[in-house]
Order: sequence, then structure tokens, then C-alpha cells
Amino acid sequence: MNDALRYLLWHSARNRMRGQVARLKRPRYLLAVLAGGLYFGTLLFNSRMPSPLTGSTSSTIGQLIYTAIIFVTVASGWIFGSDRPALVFTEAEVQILFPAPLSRSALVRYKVAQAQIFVLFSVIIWVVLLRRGGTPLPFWMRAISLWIILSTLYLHRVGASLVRTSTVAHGRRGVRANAIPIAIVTAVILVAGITIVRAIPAVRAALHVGGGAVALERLVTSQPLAAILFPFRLLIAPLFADSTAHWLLAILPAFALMAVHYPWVTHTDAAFEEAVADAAAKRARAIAASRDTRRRPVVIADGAVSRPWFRLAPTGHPAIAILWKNVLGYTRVLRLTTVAIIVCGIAVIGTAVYSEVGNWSDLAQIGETLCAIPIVMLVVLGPGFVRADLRQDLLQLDQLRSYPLRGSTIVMAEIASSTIILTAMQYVLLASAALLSSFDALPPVPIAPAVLIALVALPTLNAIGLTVANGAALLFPGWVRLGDGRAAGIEAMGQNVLAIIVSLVITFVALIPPLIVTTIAASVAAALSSRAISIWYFVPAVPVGALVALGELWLVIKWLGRVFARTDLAQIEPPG
Amino acid sequence: MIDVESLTKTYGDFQAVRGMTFHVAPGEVLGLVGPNGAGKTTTLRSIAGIIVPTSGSVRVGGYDMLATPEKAKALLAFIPDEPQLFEHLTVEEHLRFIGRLYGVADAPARIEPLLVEMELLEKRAVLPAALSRGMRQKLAIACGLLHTPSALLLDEPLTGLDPAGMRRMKSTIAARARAGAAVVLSSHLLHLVEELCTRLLVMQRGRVIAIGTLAEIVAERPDLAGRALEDVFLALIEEGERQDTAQSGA
Repeated sequence: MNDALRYLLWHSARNRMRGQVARLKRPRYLLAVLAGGLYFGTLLFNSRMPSPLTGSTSSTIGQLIYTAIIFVTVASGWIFGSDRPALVFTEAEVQILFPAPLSRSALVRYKVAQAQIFVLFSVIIWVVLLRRGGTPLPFWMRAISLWIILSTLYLHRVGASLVRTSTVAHGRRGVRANAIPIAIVTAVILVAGITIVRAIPAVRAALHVGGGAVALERLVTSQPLAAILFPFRLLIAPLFADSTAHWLLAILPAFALMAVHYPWVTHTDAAFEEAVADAAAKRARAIAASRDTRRRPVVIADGAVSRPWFRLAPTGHPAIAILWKNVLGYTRVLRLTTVAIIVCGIAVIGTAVYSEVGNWSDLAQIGETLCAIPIVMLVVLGPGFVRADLRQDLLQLDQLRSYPLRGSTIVMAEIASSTIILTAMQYVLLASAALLSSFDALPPVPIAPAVLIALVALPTLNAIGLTVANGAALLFPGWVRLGDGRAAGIEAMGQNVLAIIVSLVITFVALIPPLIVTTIAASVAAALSSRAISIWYFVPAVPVGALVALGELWLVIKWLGRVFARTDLAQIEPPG
Repeated sequence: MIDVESLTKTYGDFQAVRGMTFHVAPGEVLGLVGPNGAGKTTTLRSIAGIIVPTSGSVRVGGYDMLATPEKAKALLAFIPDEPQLFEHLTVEEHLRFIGRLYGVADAPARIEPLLVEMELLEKRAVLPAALSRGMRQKLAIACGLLHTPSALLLDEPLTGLDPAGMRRMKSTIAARARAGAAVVLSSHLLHLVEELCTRLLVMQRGRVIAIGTLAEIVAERPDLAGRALEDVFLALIEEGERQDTAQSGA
């Protein structure tokens, strides 16, 4: 790498680290580090304490799960990945490095090297979280194994993104230039999808007799899935090695897999650009003219901006304006193409599964499960993904603080914005599950009370999770990523997992009083009616627990409002 | 309209503003001038209630910014040098949003004339990403003016504007002051300050080194009589530097 870029990389990392250490002079940051350190230290050294991600890494099913996760991660990167490059350059990098005499490959290598900081951080987190699982390998071997997995996934994501970007930017020429990777990926995804759909009846039948794991293993070890998953198994093999000798045997192919990604990433797009340049030389003037046109600022046509989904009256509670702004903003960033792909995908999979399953009841049951899983996932992960709140707006703190509203009112409106969006998503899934249950001959739970409970519980849980997330942004603005989107990609996985675990622990603590009250209320109701407790008794009990949760939230938001009123932008950025 | 008493703001050991006291009456335009890092923006942000002063008080229209911030903020508008806009709201939606925040009942009727005044009518349905730097600045100004504030705080108001925009901006500020608004503006453009401001406040290293009309300031320094504002300003800054050096030496 260029000396100047190496200098930039090293000094930026060093200064960043110094800044993080300097933050520890603030008591709240120091306390958080001590609490986090205590938790993870206990996790690492106390063999009796269960790991939050406990899983038997040595078992076959464990390997299958890891292989499947990595396959899905890679496939979704190709299908749903952004059309913008994964290599995001900062404003300063664009202004200073792009006009500098540096090759495109040098810039890509610089970004790849920069991502290593995050990859290494993720490795540390994962080594701690996956510290057990029966493997006799010392921690440094597992660290190397994880580093290879995460680095390969990062490089693959960047490569996929470059291919997508080139294809989108150059249309038919782009498709031709990237024909080989596009063809391979399309074939792999199609073959894997068809094989899985065709195997569903056999796996379901095996599940009924308790042989699900064996059936799944048979599925992934039979052709063509075995061939498709071979590189993925190769990649994770060192992590599952049961001896140093096996690890040494497994690490070389995994390393080779990572190594081949590097030239692909650093040269694919450059080669493409060069090919375009060669072709362009023949038509220099025309190409130059077209490039000039393309470089003009993008002007969004009047019709390109979607209309607000509700009209904002000029009078009324001013907090509604913040809610309106945030929800409108979120609906505008929602990629319609992603929604369309998901809907079409569900329709195709549903049709394919129906053709294999053959009866509506079973299909409905699969559908219910497919709706229930994302509802639960959104409760856990939603507060990290839906960020139409303070995490988006804190960078405009000056603006927010100049508004004639109380701090607590602004905080409440911001949290309410994300709560509404997240709850709306879950309600759509809930309605779908309820609808499907009418076709299900044997629903797993009585649908009516389950829906009634979910209608109250989901917004409450979301509000708690989002209050924790917004509270973290207010209290630790130096640690929480502010602005558009959370840190994405494999390189940020450690950071995200850490954030999720901390949020879940705090959310769990906050849920204890409402859960106790809910249980007592349901027990009292059952006792009064002299019957055994059932799901129906939780229908009136959950709103009581929700009221307790709202009381907690009210107190916390009042406090956060005071923090908001005193938060200084200097905590986010040093005073200029 | 704006009363600042003994305003102090510190960041750790660094004193950004040191015991500032000044008052701005309705219809008055106070120009904040000083070298980079003098504390002009910190002063404006403290008056706007964006940052909490370490000590001292700020009152807007008689309302204390710490005790009754909502009432004080409802009377003022702060227009920063770097326009902060919401990237997913169109130009017109920004104004509707601000209208609701400040409870401007006739906001829909005010929006169009304001867009015409700021030459943004054709851009009413576009997102900030499609606006030039100057247009973004104009939109921030329009947002600030929508609720007809009694106190107007402008940080480098001409940044990014073209000559026509600058002229329009100057006449807008003058018109708002004539209508009774108290205006505080900070700028490095001394000709703007000389043209628009009824009084000057010269700052250096967080403290006031001179305040008053240009005539009043010169009256205290007869050696500067008859000299241009730029010369007066540089002389005051030099003297301030000397005082600071002497103080730190002592």
C-alpha cells in the first residue's frame, strides 16, 4: 500500500483509539466500560456462566447452522445488497484522495485495510462469545479461524457490491463484464432454492418422528447442495477442528479461499474500468460528453418524491410534527425494490412449497411460522434496524434544541416514531399469521387470545427496546453510530452484536416489573374464576403489565429529556 | 428583547465565552465580529438555547432561557452558518414541519410568499439533496422566518449565497429589524456589518473587547478616528492580543 495511505491509516486509527480512551474521563463512559468489562470478563473466565450465544460448535448440527448462516449472508448480499459500493468513502477521503495520484486499486486496498480494524474487533467479541463449544483449540487458533471467516465474508461482500455497482452503473455492458460471477451466483441460488423446496416434505416428515437433524444433514450432504456448500464448509472447517493437526490441515484451504478474494476485490472493478476505458478510447468524444452529463448533480424530479402518508395540520401538538417528519423520512428510504423482491420471493416459495406439501392446512402452518419468526426477530433486532429517531436526528442537535419543545417531549416523539414503524411491520405480519391460521386445522396456540396479547405486548416491547437504544445514543453519543443506518457488514458485526446484547440485558431488566405484574394479574384473574391459568387470563393481564412498563418509560423519558436538554454537541464532536 | 448577563461557557479548561453582557432592543441589529475562535458561534448557540451556559443568563422577550426555554425559543429563530436540513423532507415539507412546531396557524398561506421571496418556489417539491449550497441556506433562512420571530440570530448569514441572494438577504434582515425584530448576526464580512448593524460587539478569546456604535467605539479610541471599520477592528484585536499576552505574562 502507498506510504501516504499507510500513514493515514495508522495515524487515524491511533488518534481514534486515543479519542476513545479520552472519553473514559467522563464517568458515564467509564462506568459503562467497567460494567461491560465485568460482564464479558465473567463470561470469559467463569466456566459456569452460560454464554449468550452458547451452541455446540463441535456438533454436526452446529456446523450445519454456521454453514447455513454464512450461505444466507453471502446470498442475501447478492440479492438484497445495496447498489451503492460497500466501500464507503468519507467526504474528506473523496475530496483529498480521489484527486490525488492514486490508482483505484490503491484506494480499494486502503479501504480493505481500514476495515481490518473492525474485523479484528469483531474477532475479539466472537472469541469471547463463542468461547466454549467443546473444541480443544486454544483461543488464538480460534481467533485466526474467525479472522479468516470474517475477512473472507467482508471481502466477498465488497466484491459483490462492486459487481452490483458496475452492473447497475453500466447497464448491459456491466452485465457482460461481470457475466461470470453473475451467472455463478444466479445458478447457485436457484439450484439451492429448488433443492431446499423439494426437500421440504422429507424434512417435515423426519421432524415429526424426531429425526430432523439427520434429515437436514442428509439434505446438505447430498448433491447438488453439498457441492454448493463446499466452499462454505471449507471456510468454517478450522473453527470446528478437534485437534491442532486437524486445524493445521483445515486452515490452509480456508486461508486460500480468503486469499483468492483479495485480488478479485482489488482488481475486478479496476479491470472493468480499464476495459471501459479501452472501449471509450474509440469513441472518446461521445463518452466524454456522456460522462460530463452523468457527473452533473442528480436532480430529483418533482414526481420522484413520494407524498406524505398523512397531512400535517398547521396547528395541534407540535410533537406530532417530529413524528410526521420521522415516519415520512422512513417511508422514503424504504427501498421498494427490496419490498417487491421479498413479496415476490414469498409468493414463489409459497407456490413451490404448496406444490410439494399439497394441502392448505400444512401450508398455512408453514406460513404462520414464517410470520411468527420475523415478529420475534423484530422485537429483538428491530430497535437496532428501525432508526427513525434520535439516532438519526442527533447530528442535527442544534436544530432540535432550538425548537420550542421540552427535551422530554422531543425524546418521546422520537421514540414514538420508531415504535410506530416497528409495530406497523409486526402488525402486518400478525394479521397475516391470523389470516393463515383460519386455514390451519391445528393451530399451535389459540389464535384469538394470542393476537389480543400481541396487539398490546408488541408496541410495549418495541417502546422499551427503542427507549434503550435512544437512551444509549443520548448517553453515549461517542459510541453509538449516528445518522443514516447502523454499521452494516461483517466488519461491524462485533460492534452490532455487542450493542444487541447490551440492549437485551437492559431491556430484560426493564421487563422484570411488568412481567411480575402481568403474572400476578393473570394468576389473580384465574384464582377469582377458580380455574386453572390459561392464555385467556393473560388477555386482561398484559395491558396491566403494559401500564407498568409505560410508567417506567415515562420516568426514563423524563430523565432522558433532561439529558437531552443538557447534551452538548461537543460530546459528539470536539468543539471547533 | 435579548438580554445576556455574565454569560460564560467553558469546555473543560477552555473558556469559549467569558462573562459576556449585552442587550439587544427590538429593531436593533447587533453585529458580532471577531477573529476565528473568538466565541461568536458559542454565544449565538447559547442565546438560542442550544447549549447550556456554564454560568450567567439569557432572556428572550423577558423569558429566561433556562427556566422557560419553550417560551423563549418560541420567540426566536436561529439560522446557522451550515444549514441543517432533514434529507427526507422536501422544501415545502420543511416549512410545513416548522409551521406545526411553532404553531403557525396560517402557515400554508405564508409558505408560498416566503418561497417566492427566497426564490425557492420552483424547488418546493424537491429534497435538500437536489439543492445547491446557496439554496439550502435560503431554505434554512425561510424556516427561520416562517414564524415571524421577535429575535433573529444569524451565524454568517451570507455564506453560500450568490450576489443577488446576498442583496436579498440583506434587505430581508433590514426589513425584519424595521418590523421590530431584535437581530444578532455574526460575520467576518465587515462591510455587511457596517451596512446592516446598528451596533457592534467585538469579541476576542471569548470576551467583549468593544461594544457600541462605530462612533461610540471610536470615541473611546481617538487614535482610530476617521479610519475604516476594518482598520478599527484590526487595531482592537491587536490591542486585545497585547492585553492577553500581558495578562498571561503576569
